[in-house]
Amino acid sequence: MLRKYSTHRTHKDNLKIGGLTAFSAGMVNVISVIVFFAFTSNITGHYAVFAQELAKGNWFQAAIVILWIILFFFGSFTSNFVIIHGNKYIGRYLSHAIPIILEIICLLVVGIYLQNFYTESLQETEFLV
Amino acid sequence: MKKTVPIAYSLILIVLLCSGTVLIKGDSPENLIVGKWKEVAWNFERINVDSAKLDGNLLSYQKKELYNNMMIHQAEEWEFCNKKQLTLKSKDPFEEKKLKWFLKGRGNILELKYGNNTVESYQVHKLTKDTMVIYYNFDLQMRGSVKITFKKVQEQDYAQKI
Repeated sequence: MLRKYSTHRTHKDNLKIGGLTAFSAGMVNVISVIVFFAFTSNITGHYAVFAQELAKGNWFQAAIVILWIILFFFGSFTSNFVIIHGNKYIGRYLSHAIPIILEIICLLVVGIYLQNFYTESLQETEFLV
Repeated sequence: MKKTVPIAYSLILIVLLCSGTVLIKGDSPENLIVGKWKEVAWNFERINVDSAKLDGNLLSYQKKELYNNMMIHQAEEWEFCNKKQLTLKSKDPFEEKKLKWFLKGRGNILELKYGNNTVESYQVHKLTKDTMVIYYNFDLQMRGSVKITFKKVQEQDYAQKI
């Protein structure tokens, strides 16, 4: 279902993609709120928070939020780049699988770090978010 | 089209450089909070009494009633140490509590942990070199939230003392 482009996807495919992405993003968001007290899946929310911090004059916090937003763009760029340009070299299946594998690796690293090394410092929290 | 690409990349680079500079040069909330803080005011927002008369300040009987349901805040001085230890000192010189403090989120949540794994969290509304304002949201029947304002106690070195 992921390999098909929007014009070739059926209603069932769309439902599957919507359900899967909403479920995984929701799970990650809930866990991050419980552990880090920060949302990870709401980019529009980050803009609101960024504006709020700027208005309050909290430059440090505003810089953190803008870095989170830029990292989101970087992740989005990387996955699109791999899908579009990797198609020719590594095939459609693998080029679509790589972004998901990367996300799984990121989540695993965060999970292992949380379980074994997390000392609850602010720097760690900001980095892991 | 060709002109917009370098402009977009330059903008991203400028934003990255600015944020990096702020993060390196700026004061982290974790550093700002370290030190002795003295409670200077308790205010209730949306309190269920005639707030016009009170101007939001807490009456002694209300404060007493709240104290029964809270684990801390009988302290008048909060000392945040570097090693994540918080010492709460009250008027009584023999009464002192030690607990752990952590800043979460982007430095906007203050979490206090007791030895028995009880956790309290506060929203850090303002944190500067000399002022700290935190909010505690009650899980009681009470409407509104408590705002606690602190002023930093300036440590005098030996030369200043004499």
